Amino acid sequence: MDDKDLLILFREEGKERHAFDLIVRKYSERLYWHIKKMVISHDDANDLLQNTFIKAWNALPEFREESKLFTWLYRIATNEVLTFLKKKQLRSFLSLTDYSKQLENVLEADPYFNGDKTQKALQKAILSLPEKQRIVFNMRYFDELKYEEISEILGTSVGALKASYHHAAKKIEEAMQKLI
Amino acid sequence: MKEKINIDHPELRKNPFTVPANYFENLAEAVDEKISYVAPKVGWWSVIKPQLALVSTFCIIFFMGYGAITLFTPDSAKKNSLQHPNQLEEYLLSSSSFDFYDEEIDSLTTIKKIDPDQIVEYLRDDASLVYLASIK
Repeated sequence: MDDKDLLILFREEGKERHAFDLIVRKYSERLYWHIKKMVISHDDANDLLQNTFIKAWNALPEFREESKLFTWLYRIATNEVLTFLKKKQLRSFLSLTDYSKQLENVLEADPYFNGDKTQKALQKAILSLPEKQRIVFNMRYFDELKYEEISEILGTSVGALKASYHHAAKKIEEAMQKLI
Repeated sequence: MKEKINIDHPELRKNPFTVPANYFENLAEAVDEKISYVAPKVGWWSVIKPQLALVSTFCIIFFMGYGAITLFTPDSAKKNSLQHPNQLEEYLLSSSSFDFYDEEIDSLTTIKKIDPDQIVEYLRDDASLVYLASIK
């Protein structure tokens, strides 16, 4: 079922729950990986994903379809992630520990990491990037979103996103060269 | 010499992470459960009750402290006795009539009956005094 039909079903009386269940099933996997690559920990990703859907459930009656449903969900998830990271960074600032180092440690201990040495080096290199650059890189590199879609989600111009992605890619290659 | 890293290699783009078994299958149910849970409305009484209890406790403690200080401070007891001499007298008389028995105090509390003949006799003997007293 496409997004338009899902939204029509959601607006039918007594069908909201069923329609929303279908939305969750359709987008949970994509949103989970988007969040997971930012926060690394599965528990944090799970909490943030559930919060994303709860916020979407509360706001969906007012959704005016000015953007695509999946773009809208991505935006909610991204905002959740950024708020979460800000809080974590503030805490790590107060405890005088580097938050990207903390994320590296989480990656090292992650029981759900199944990649090889090169993939681990790539993840570590991505973690060394500033968070917004990291989001842009992940959306383009792993989720294969178009720049126009990323622009709609983040509210940044396509030109700035292209520049950001190329900077990130260059930094990652340099970092990986050192790591391997 | 190290080989140059190319991040566009398709193998690198593969997702290196996994999830716990049946995670995505159970997620929809978990979200549905959270949506179903409607937080109970908190009434104004439940909000104000603990605050009221706290304020009452402070008031009780304050008045108990104030009462204790007022009652057991010697200066204030003295001050009180000066302000209400009659009350103190009554209190002392009722608390221990024997210890504080005094002819003078006794004269204040007992009314002596005077024989009318005695009054007539007094006026007759000291009539000049009555006359003098009536002159302006």
